[in-house]
Parts: sequence; structure tokens; C-alpha cells
Amino acid sequence: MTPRTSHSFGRWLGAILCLLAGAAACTPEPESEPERSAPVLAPVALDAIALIEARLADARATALPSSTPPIPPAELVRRMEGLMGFATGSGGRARDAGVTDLVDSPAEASAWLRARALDEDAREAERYLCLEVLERRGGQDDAEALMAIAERARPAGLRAGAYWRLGRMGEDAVLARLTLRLKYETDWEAVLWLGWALCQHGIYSGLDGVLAVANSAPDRDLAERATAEAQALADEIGAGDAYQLANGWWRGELPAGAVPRVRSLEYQLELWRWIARFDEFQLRGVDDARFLLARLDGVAADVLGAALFDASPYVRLGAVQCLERMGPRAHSAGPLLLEHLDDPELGPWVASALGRIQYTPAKEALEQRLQPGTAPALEVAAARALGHLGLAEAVPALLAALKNVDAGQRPELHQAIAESLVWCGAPAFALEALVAALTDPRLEPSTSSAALRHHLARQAAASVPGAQDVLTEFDALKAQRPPAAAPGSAAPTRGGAAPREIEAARAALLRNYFDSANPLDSAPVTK
Amino acid sequence: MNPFRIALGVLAIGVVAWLGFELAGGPSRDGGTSSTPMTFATSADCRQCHAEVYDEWAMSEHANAWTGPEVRLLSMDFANQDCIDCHAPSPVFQSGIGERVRPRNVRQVEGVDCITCHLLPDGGVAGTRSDPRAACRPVARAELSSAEHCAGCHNQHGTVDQWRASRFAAQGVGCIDCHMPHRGGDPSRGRSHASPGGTDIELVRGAIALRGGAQDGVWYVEVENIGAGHSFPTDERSRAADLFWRPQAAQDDAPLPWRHLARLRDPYRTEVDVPTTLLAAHETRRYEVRSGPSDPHRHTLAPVGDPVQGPIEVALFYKRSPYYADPAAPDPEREARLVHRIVLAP
Repeated sequence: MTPRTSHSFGRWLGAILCLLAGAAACTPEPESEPERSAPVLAPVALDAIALIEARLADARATALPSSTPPIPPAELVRRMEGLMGFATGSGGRARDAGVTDLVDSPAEASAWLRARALDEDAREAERYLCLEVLERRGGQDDAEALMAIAERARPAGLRAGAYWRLGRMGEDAVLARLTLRLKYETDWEAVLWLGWALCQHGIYSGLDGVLAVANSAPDRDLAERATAEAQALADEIGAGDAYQLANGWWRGELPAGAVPRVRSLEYQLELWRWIARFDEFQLRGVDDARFLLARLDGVAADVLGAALFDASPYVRLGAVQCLERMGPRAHSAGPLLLEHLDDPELGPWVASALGRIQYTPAKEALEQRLQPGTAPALEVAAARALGHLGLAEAVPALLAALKNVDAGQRPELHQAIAESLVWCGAPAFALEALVAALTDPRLEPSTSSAALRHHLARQAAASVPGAQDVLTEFDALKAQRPPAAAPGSAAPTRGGAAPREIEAARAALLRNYFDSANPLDSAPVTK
Repeated sequence: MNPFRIALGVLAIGVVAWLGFELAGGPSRDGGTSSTPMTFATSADCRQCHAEVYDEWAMSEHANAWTGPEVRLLSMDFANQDCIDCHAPSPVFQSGIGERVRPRNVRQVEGVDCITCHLLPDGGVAGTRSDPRAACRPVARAELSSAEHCAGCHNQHGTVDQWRASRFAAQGVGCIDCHMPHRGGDPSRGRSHASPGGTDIELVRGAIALRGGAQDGVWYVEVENIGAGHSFPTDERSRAADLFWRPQAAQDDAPLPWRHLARLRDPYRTEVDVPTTLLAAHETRRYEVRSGPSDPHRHTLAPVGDPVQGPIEVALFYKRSPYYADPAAPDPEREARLVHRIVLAP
């Protein structure tokens, strides 16, 4: 093993050990360009799982034994039934005493409380009391029990209650599963408390759920409650409103302390178990893993950075995709991503991720991948990534690349460079190519459409005559209904016109506007 | 030396050299050379020699995998990036036969294209037979015609496993026998790359039988999977088949609205309370026709209500999007495609 590969090999191991130690700043120093030797790969995810499980086993082995002897199952059931009946049938201090006894029940009681809460034939008062008792017990098994209730209980009110109580508990081991519920929860009220609970743990992806309820819940009272809760969450950390809070979370710019930088071993174990699922054949588990990991915090970004060195191409790809979807919140993974930029298969996704996480030190490396001799897919991805970075300093390299590329032979590269010129604030040489891209069957039009819309919006903001009207019309085209489907056809029954029709109409609109307004001569629009 | 002999000798050497060059795979039929096999940047490159295949593919759902209106709608224009893996996959031979496909970031508009199935990791081309004289130098790879080749995408929803559990697998009837049939039934003409499937309503009609009758005064309907080598419907969860019925209108009266009877579908993973009701290969399922309500979006399993009296029409419709504009009053004739229609009369 060369010194360089030893260094590479040590990066992921160092990252894992650093995370296990609970250090807040585990990521390597930024570097503008990695050395060219290929990173060394290893079964990182499986090794990390084994390592953490061993640590947890050691911790359990050295823990003080319980002071109370185990209770036979039948005796436990009899005692729990009695206490539950007493607590739900009493009031005032008597109830409190019953609840306290339930809370103080031995560890095995968690499973009983979970089963009772999930029992649809049980009395409603008992089922809800189980949630209260589990929260007050406050252990990891109790959080697991509440999580199981949150995943399966009916009616939805029980799930809402379980979410709320999980938000009040300190346990973070269930946060990955809790985040996944954002994908599957269907009840409006439950979504509100699910989102709220995640925010309590510093996972502000949950704000999406709270705001969805605030903006779309059919129950007006519930929507108002969600609006108030969202504002309260913003107030707690000094953000002006919930949207500023969401933006700060996305950009990784929340105040210190708003998001914990140290998580439990159990939390990290969950992350690694989900990362290991990237290797599954069925996309169902892979999709779930991508969904939740991309919505977690900086600790997850660090763990995903370590997973970039896994021997499985599926794990590496999944890690890159999650970091990309995290956006700037995953900025700390930039140096590790850079090491994989020349990976023949992963490189294009790495380039894209570097752009999406706004890792500006990658600018030079990305510009170099616009040079002849670069793999075509990496070249296209590098061009797009420079647009995501949006740096005016990248314009000279993009213009040089635009000059060199044959639009007929490499239409996709030509399109990518043109789009990035717009995002980097130099639209003058790009607009014609982008309008043409809207109707070129060889190209995906939506990315060019987004770049053109960005240009129009900038022009409108700069009060360029006619720009606002064109922008309004540009947006209105998206909302057009499709022509009625022919009887017996299998045409879709929802949504707007097919994208090609929309983009063709937009192309006609823009050609007309550009011909009449000559926007290329208008005041320069900078980012 | 006789100049004529010298010229003859030069000519002979030239002929021998030319023959050697040809036999070694010299200038190919379309202008390639043996030392520089074609490389492929896009499936359009394949059209130069394989126009018929390309044109078939260009009209297929594989070609529409990225651009089709249904997938654009259901994936929210691929804002749901999880759809990209199978709708713009990297070459299957690169991921590995039978392994899950991985997404690509370029040429996505080409969907599931020539390169997806035929490009080898070394840049060569897989074919059904080797031909060193062709521009692309295809190398025979038996995996091309195996179910495993399709599995990376099509077993994501269990289609290949459904086939493996069917009698067709035991009989050696594979994916390509139905979905890539010989052109005109003639093996010498090669296999069609149009890849007919759920969009080919005649193929669907041939795979499913619908019949009905009365038992103890109650109309029943039977739907049987007689020809699909997998469940019906299969693959994408967006696909749904619905049984509808309505009292048969008098001769001069307008038809009454269709009433939903049952749905065959594998629900989306978010539809946690909706049962899977796919019709397995060779399976027959019977439904009683009763007057109670049924919601197509809930996949009603057991019809409820009173038995229906008098003559009725029953129809099986097929959809590629599971939604009806108004679930309470679905209009299958407008929103779905008719597979079979029968009349049950006393």
C-alpha cells in the first residue's frame, strides 16, 4: 500500500472513529484538488456496523445490573393490567399514583405498553395512557415502543400522540425511522406533530411537514395551529419566520446549538444500517434510505462521507446521491467527494453533488474536467456543477468550453455549458442555445427552461421592459390543462400538458420576446 | 524482368493483401475498419446499420421511458429522482446481469436505449451472434435473451419472480417470447424491438379472459390470467385493471354509468391501507356482482350489497395511471382502455 493509499484508506476509518468519539469537527481540511490516486475501498458500512454494535455490547456488559429482579411474564401482565385499570379509572392523585407505578414498572413493561397501545380492541383511554407512560419512562426501549406505535397504530390520533411524545423525549436512536414517516404518514394532524417532533431534535426537515399542514390542510383550525407552531419553532432559534428557518437549515447556517453536532452511538448505528441497505436489489429499501438520509443532519453528512469509501458501488452511489440531495448542509463532505471525482462511474454524480452542496473549492477541479480528454459524462456533469456553484469566476472557463464544443456533436454538453453561463450571471452567449434546447428532441428541456426562467426573473427584477409580462406568461404555460383525452385512450387523468408541449410554447414565447426586446443588449444581469 | 510479369505480381500481391484484410475483418459493410471499431455515444449511432430495429425501438415504451407523458406526470418530471435508476439506466452489462441497474446522468432523454442493453463494459457490443465484420463487432452473449437481463429493472416490482413461479418458466417460455417476438413470426427476420407490453391492448386482451354467469340467483364474474407469464397487471404500481358493471340499458335508452366492482393492482408503498390484488399467472378470481358501493382507489376485495337483478354489462378496463378524476364517479370509457366486455342476461 502506498503512502497515498494509506492516507485514503485512513480517511473513512478516521471519520468513523471520530464520529464514535462524538467529535464535532471530523471532516478533513478543504483541498482544492485531490491527488490522482484512486481511493482505497473497503466494506465500510458493514465494518462500521460491527464496530458500533461491539461498542454497544461492551457498554451493556459493563452497565450496572438492574436493582429489581426480573418479573415472570404472567405476573407482569397481571400487575400491568391492574395498574392500567386503576389509573384509567381514577382521577386526581390516585390516577397520578397509578401512572407513577406504571412508569416505574420494570424494563419488560415497555413491550406490554406497546402491545396495548396497538391493540385496536383496547379502551381508548388505556391506549393513550400507554403513550404517556412510555414518554415518562423515557428509555430507549420506550422510544422504540413509541416509534412502533407511530408506524402502525390506528386511528391516526394515536400516531399523532406518539409523534408528539417522541418530540419531547431525548432519545435520538429513532430519528431515522421518524424521518422516514414524512414519506408515509397520511393524516394531516399526525403530519403536523411528526414534523414538530423532528424539529425538536434539530432535524428541521420536519418543517416541511409542518408547513405542508399550514398551507394545505383542509381543516382550517389545524392549518392555523400548524402556522403557529412553525412560527414558534422559528422564534425558538431566532429565525424571522419558518421559511427563513427552513432556508437556514437547507444552507447549514442555523445558529450553533440549534442542531446537535453529537449524536448517540445508537443514532449512528441506525444511519449505517440504512446506508448498508443501498446494497439491496429491491429499490424499495434503497429509496427509503435515500429519502431519510438526505433529510438528516450534519452527523449524517459525515457518516455518508465515510460511506464514499465503501467497496460496494451501490453504497458509494447512494452516499453521493444523499449528499447531493442534502444540498449545502452537506458542505463538510466536499473534500471526501473530491477524491472520487475521477471515478469512471461515480465521477459524474460526484461532480453534481459538489455543485449542489455548494462546495466552491471544487471550482478549479470542475473547470479542469471541461478540458478535452475528460469522459463525456463527467464533462457534462462538471459543466452543470459549475452552474450550481454559480460563481462569476467560472465564466471564463465556461466561455472557453462553449467555444470549443461542437453543438452538433455534443448537444448535451453545449446545453449544460449554456445553462451554467446563465446561472453564473453571463447569459449573453447562452440564450439562443437554451431556447433551441427547449425544442431539441435530443435534450431534456426542463433544465434549460429553469435557466431561462431565472434569466427572465432577473430581468424583471431589473425592470427590463416587458420582462415581467413574459415571465408571467412563461409561468402560466405550466398551468395549462392538457387537451381532453380521447375516449378509450390511456392518457393520464391529472396534471398539465406534456412537458414538450409546454416547452415548445415557451420557446415560441421567448423567441418573440427576444426578437422584439433584444434582451441581449439590455443592462447586464449579474448574479 | 518482363514488365507485364512485374505488374501481374504487384496485382497478385495486392489481391492477396486485400483478401487477407477482408478475412481479418477489413473494411466493414458500412465503412468501419477492423482496426477502429465504432464507439457509441448515443443510440442514434446504431441507426446507421440497424434502421429497422432503431425505428421499432423509437416507438416503444423503452424509448419513452424518460419522455412519456405518464412517467413525466407520475415522477413530477423526475423531481422524484428515485425513478431515474430504471428510466435512464446505465448499461446492464456494466451493472451486472441480474443486478440492480444504476442511473446515468447523460442521454437521459433516450430512456432505455440500445446502449442500455447492448453496450459491454469494454466498449464493445453484445449481440445474439458474433460478427467481426460488422462495424460494431457484436460479440455473442447469451445473457441478452435471458430473463435475468430484464430483471435489473423489471424485477423491481417482482415481475421476473412472478414469471419464475409460473408454468411458463418451467416450459422455457421467456420474456422475449412474448415481448420481443420474431418479426412476422419468422425467426430469420430477427426479433422485434418494439417490446409490446401493457400499451399493446391486443396483447393484454390475449392474456386475460373475462366470463360470467349466475349462481344461486347472484351474478358472478370471473377473470382469468390465461396468457401473461406474470401477474396482471405487473411491474409499475401505477398500472391498474378495473372491473365495472352496469345494468344493461333498454334498446333505445342511453347507457347507465359504470359502477366499480373490483380492482387489480399493486398499490404504491405509501398506500399502506390498500391491499395488493394482482391476478397471478394462471389464476382465476371470481367476484359476485352486488349493488353496494366500491371505490376504485381503495381496491375493494369483497363486493357488498344486494344481488343485482336483470341483465348486466361487465367490462374489464386497463389503466396506466391508477387515478380516476372522480373516484366516486369514475368514467372508465374515457379514462381507461377497454380490454373485454360481456353481457350477462337471464
